[in-house]
Amino acid sequence: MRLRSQFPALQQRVHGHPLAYLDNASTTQKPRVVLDAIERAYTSQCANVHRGVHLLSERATEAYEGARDRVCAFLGAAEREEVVFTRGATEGINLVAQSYGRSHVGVGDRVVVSEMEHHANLVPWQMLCVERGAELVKLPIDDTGELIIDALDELLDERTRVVAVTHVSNSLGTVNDVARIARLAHAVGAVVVVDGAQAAAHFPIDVQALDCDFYAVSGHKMYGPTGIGALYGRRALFEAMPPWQGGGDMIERVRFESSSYRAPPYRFEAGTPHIAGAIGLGAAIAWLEDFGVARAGGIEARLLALATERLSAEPDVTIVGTAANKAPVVSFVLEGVHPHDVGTIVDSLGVAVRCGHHCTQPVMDRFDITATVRASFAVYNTEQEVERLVAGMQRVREVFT
Amino acid sequence: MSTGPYRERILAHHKAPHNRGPLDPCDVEATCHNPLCGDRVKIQLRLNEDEITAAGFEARGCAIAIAAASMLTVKVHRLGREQAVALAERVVTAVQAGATDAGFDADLLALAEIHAHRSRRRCATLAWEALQRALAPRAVSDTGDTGVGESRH
Repeated sequence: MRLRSQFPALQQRVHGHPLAYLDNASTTQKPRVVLDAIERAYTSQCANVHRGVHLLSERATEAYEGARDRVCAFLGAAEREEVVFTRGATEGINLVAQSYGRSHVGVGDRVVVSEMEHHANLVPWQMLCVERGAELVKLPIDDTGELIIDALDELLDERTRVVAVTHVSNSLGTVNDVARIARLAHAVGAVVVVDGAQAAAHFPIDVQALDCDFYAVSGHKMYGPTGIGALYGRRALFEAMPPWQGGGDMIERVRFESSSYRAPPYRFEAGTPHIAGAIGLGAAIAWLEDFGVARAGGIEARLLALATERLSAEPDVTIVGTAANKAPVVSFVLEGVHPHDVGTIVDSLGVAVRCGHHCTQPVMDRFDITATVRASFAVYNTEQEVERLVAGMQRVREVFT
Repeated sequence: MSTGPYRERILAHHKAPHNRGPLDPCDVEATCHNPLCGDRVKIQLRLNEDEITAAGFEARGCAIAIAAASMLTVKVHRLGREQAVALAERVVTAVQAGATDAGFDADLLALAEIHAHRSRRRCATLAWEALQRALAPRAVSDTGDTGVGESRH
């Protein structure tokens, strides 16, 4: 089946134009096979997991745990016990901050966080540092939007417990050298927590090759449903971590006064999980692997190159984030026009982009702006859609000059 | 082709805003932030007894936010405190609920039409919320970093 026709949402017109959906870093559209898998989860497989002895519960458990195996292989984890289902990357990072962080970070310890983090990989560490009396340390970025990794030589010390860094910047597109950061962090005994939300759909992930300690992803940014994600954690770390949320399914034995807890991953999955979401995520991974993650990345890289070339040729456009190695994200400002006004005008032409600070206000502060227009590409986007975005700049100028 | 929310009155105020820049001295001021986009609008007022004798604004925002603030500084001139607060309520209601108001002139009608663009409503109300905050009891000054103005969408 042709690629675009597999995505029902792409078939619609908006404001009288065919939809050009260039907001994929916010969320991707979902292929029909994912929607079908979710429907099956609520029809022929609808039961709770890990509990019932009846057929439907067995089917649900099989599908749910099958999805865990898919995530495990997709991330390159060594064992399925290293994969915990979460609501998304945000919840995964909060889990690490609150379980690992609270039990390992104390007064005077350091948590190093990069300047380019999404608020999801900054605010949980701010909260932890306030609670524990620890020091929050910034790993800075340069004018191109690349991390100044050399600064780690001075920032890392024996009091550093955690280094939190994104694999790909959602607002700049920068791809970070996580493996190098992990080597440096491990040399002082710190763990590395990676926000992989913007990476997973665009190139193959191998947590063992990266040698990171935790890696969080969101299903909805990789063609899967919202409300589901996964957290990879190194087994030895997961096993030593206290539970995060308490409830059913995470316990071994409960007495009124106290309980003992199951081994990972179930220790960190209290309550009925998002079963249909996990199954949908599994289907999304199967779809993406069938298409080819590297092949998807190649298509997206060509779109990024075209968008960068075309937008750079516009004299009043400034691209924010010009790192050498970028994921398919192009952030820019149009001189004299607020990004929201750009976004509203191009929306009227059927082109969907994100405008704002992209939940990265420190990045905006770094470049002394409040917002950007961001176009972000997925495998189903076309060169024609890129051209429509660029042509939209002329319409914006007509309205505002 | 439709201009969407960018009616002639909005664009006119955006291109040549009234009373932009710091009002010095001023008697009351308040700033509202839109946490969704990081935009901010500060409203400053000079008062003689209960009457607004001068109004100014500073803004880091989009065309709609700037136009709304510019319109505001014109409309509240010579209004009493209570009249100004009542006008702010009418404008905010018009934008949020889509209620038309027979007393609106072309400027305020253009602002009220922003109701049709859900994601942009807050841009139109930001300045008016700052006005309400500036004139709220006890509000001598308010940086507006937190509070009701930010919790709305």
